[in-house]
Order: sequence, then C-alpha cells, then structure tokens
Amino acid sequence: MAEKTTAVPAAALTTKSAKRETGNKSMFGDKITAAFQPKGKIKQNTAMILGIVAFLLILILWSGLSYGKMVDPLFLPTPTATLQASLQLFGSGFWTDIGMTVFRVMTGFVIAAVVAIPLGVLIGTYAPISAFFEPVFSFVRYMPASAFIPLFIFWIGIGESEKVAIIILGSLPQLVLMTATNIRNVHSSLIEVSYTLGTNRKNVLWKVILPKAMPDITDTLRIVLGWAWTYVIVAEMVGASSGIGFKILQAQRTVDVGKIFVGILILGLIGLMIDNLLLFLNKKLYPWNE
Amino acid sequence: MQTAVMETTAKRPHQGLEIKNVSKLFQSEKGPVKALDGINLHVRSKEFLTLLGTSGCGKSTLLRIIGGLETASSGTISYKQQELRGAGSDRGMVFQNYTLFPWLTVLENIEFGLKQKNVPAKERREIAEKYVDLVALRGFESLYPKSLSGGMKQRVAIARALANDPDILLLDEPFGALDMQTRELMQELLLNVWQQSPKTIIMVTHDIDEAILLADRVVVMSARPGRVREIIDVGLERPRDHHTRLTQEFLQYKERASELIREESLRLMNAI
Repeated sequence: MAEKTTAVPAAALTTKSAKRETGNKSMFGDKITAAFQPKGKIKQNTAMILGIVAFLLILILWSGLSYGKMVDPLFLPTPTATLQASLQLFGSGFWTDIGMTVFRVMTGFVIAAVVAIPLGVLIGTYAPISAFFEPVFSFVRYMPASAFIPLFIFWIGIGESEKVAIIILGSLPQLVLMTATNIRNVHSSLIEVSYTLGTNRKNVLWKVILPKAMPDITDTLRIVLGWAWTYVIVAEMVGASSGIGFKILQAQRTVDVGKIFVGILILGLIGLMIDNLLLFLNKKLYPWNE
Repeated sequence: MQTAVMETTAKRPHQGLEIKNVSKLFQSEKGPVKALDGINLHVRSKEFLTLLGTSGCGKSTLLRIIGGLETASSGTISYKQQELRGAGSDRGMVFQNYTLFPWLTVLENIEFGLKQKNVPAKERREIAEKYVDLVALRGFESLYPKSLSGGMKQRVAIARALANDPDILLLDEPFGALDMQTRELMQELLLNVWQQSPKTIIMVTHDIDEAILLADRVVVMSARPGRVREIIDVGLERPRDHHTRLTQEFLQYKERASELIREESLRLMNAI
C-alpha cells in the first residue's frame, strides 16, 4: 500500500482510509472529502445524478407544499393543476404566442447583431473608433431597456416595431462592447508573428484577428441572446395582445397561477434549448478551439 | 577553425545586417529608461549569431527592433545596405510563447506566409510538406495546434518561418518554455535545419550552453542599459551535436561566457 501511494498528492487520503480499515462508510466519507477539494473533479455520471436530484428536490418541495395544502392553491397550484393549465393553454393557441415571442426576439436580436458585430470589431481593433463610440455605449448599457418602454410607446406606438426596438436597445450595446472585448483578447504576439509572415495592416483583421475571435464572438451572441429573452417578456407585458409575456399577464388578471407557471417554465425550456444548440454549434463550427 | 561561410562573407561586409548606433528609450512611470545604448553590430550573411544576456538587458528589444516590431529611438538597421523599416516577410520570427494560428492545421500554419504571397496552392503544399519533413512532423500535418506538445508547436513555428524563405531568421528564446530534455533535442534539430538550409539566424537566449552550442559568435550583452559587452568567436567545429557540450573547448567558452554573465548579474543585483 505504501509503495503504491508514493509521490501522489492525494495519496494521504487513501493511506488514511486503508489504515483505519473502517469499511464502506468512511470510504464514502473520504470520497466526499476528496470531491470537495477546490477545483476537484467528479465523475460525469455523479454530476448528472446530482443535477437531477436538485430538480427532484424542488418538485418534492413543490408537491409537499401544494398537495399538502400548506399554501393556498390559488397562489400555488399543484403539479397536476399546472399540467392541466398547460393543456388548456396549448389547446387555445399558445403555440402562436410562443411563435410571436420567438419572432420578436429573433428579429430584434438579428438586427442588433448585424449592426453590433461589425461595430464591435472596429471598436476592438482601432483606437480612434473605440475612443469615439465606447463612452456612449458604456453609458447606454447601464440604462435598463425596460425603462424605455413608455418612451418608445410614445415614439413608435404599441405595434411590433416597439417590441423589436426594446430588444435592439437592450442587446445592441452589450453586443458591441462584448465583441470589442473578444477582439481585444486576441494576443498581440499572434498579430506580430503574422506581420513577420508578410501580412499587412489591412489584411490582419481578416486573416488573423477575426478567425481567432470568432468562437468568442459566437459565445457572446449566445449570452446576449439569453438576456434578450428577458427584454421581450417585459416588452410583451406592456401594450401587447400576443406573446408569452402577454399570456402571463393575462393569467395574472384572471388569477390563474397555473398558467403563469406554464409560461415561465416554457420560457426556461426554450432558453435552455437555444443555449445548448448554440453551444453545440460552437463546438461544431470551431473544432480547433481549446 | 573559422567556418568557410564566415571567411567568404568577411570579404563582403555589405552583404550582411548592419546595426548602427541603435538606442531605445522606454517611457516608464519614473521617467525614461534606457533599454539599449548605442548598439553596433555587423551580422554576416548566413551567420548564426546568439544574443546572450541576463533578463532585462534589452536583447529581446533589440531583436524586435531588427524584426521591425518596434522602432529604435535612434540609430539605423540596414540589410544589404538598404535601411529596414517595419516588419516584413524577409525577416521571419519565432517567439517564446506559442504563436501558432490555432484555427489552422500544422500544414496550413506552415503555408500561411506563402498564402500571403499568393503562391499557388499546389506549390504551397509542396513547400510546406518539405518543411514538415525537415522539422520531423510527418504524420501530424492535419492536427490543430491544441493537440500538439510544446516542442512540436515550436517546430511548427520554425517550419512556418522557414517556409517563407526569409533572409534572416529571428528567434526570441524559442525554447525557453520547454523542459531541458526537449530543449536540447530542439537545439540539435535547429542546428540540423540550419545546416540543411543555411540562413542568417539571430537568436536571443539566456541559456549559456545554448548560446555557445549553436552560434558562430555569441554577443554577450550588459544589463541596464543594454550594451554589447563582448563578442565571443565560437570556433567549435561543425557539425556540432550533444557530444560537443562535453568537449574541453566547449567548457572553455562556457567559462568565459559564464564569467561575463555572472559579473552582469552581480552588477544588476547591487544596483537594486
């Protein structure tokens, strides 16, 4: 035993447990102690089980509180009631609302990205452009998009353009600034070595900086798209007649908490799906990325 | 003991790289700092020159100025009597940290410079393949840098610089981040590469053994400000390999260089 454990940092734990010979229980305890090392690793299966357990605990707590009538069912519907509410919602055209919400987010987000990415790239690359634009965007970034809703209703009305405008306003400054940071993170030695290989100043952006920054920019898109989801819901709660946000607001008016639950859960699910899709795409598109 | 290359180039001094009175001032918070002070050097064509010095002696700065990545505060650098300005593909460079393009495969990395010059794809491939063999990376051509070891990455970096066929190869502590065993193998590989396709090489290092083993001449620099302290003519027979390190002659050169470096280090310590 002693021979086996030489020079391995974690060996102290193994030797201890062997000496004590107290059986499975303390072995398990040692495993737990080892797993709680800072930056320690656990098996993929264990990680998955722990993740599922967290969801189950929430479900159990929810079931206990609702089925056990510990909370007024008006405010906390049972899982069964929530399921019924979802059947009702989907039976009465909820798909159209989901479609509307997705359409609004995507329209606003695509417009924002088309403008923001080239601008962010230029800001990250050229100091004068950065000096001109960056202060403005850094300021606008801290103005909450939802605070602009009353103003935009005045200016644009309560149609689709207003909802899309809120999403653009919310995501554009973030996209610009984060893209600029992605570009700046390209190490200067990579640019220098390309000069010594004959790249000129005009080409270096296309040949070196952009290819290197692309995975990071794709990741920025993923993160900001997540934020855009929150803006669209706020926008749909003011002066809308369709969309998931509208349905949630309507459910509040009729005190139908089950439908509010369904709306929120659906939002979470769609968000999770898009996030995973983009993560997957990032891996597929940039197999070289570490 | 002098190599044939050196004898011929000595008769044609205008063929080499001429560093004249190069000084470099950096602005720091405490005011201007002189990194290089009046450097004069003549680097012969196809010569292997090493710049040896303690850290902070400005040897990397000098190399970067030659490479056109930094400008001298005063003085000039000319090659074949043409003054050099800015970076260019005539001076290939290899850095200490890994500067491979991570989105390109080994082969594509080596082809990068040729692509910038619009060399046709087929010719490009042929040249790159040749350098893959030269740095012994056959079988790894289609890998991305992320799956290469440190030594392999530096071999790709050397091949990439050479494939461009530069007049001068500038090496900035290229093996500094490698473990000792790998470093020694890389030194021999570099000697071998240089023997097969002779080029003017200027290499910065703080490794005394490395400086002597590789060089025709070792330029020992003094620290703060960086000046040329002494130039050691290394008369060791070529081809050299790991046996060379154990010869009496090698040790004599090493003793001399070590003495100089030690003096500089002590001077630096006392100054602080």
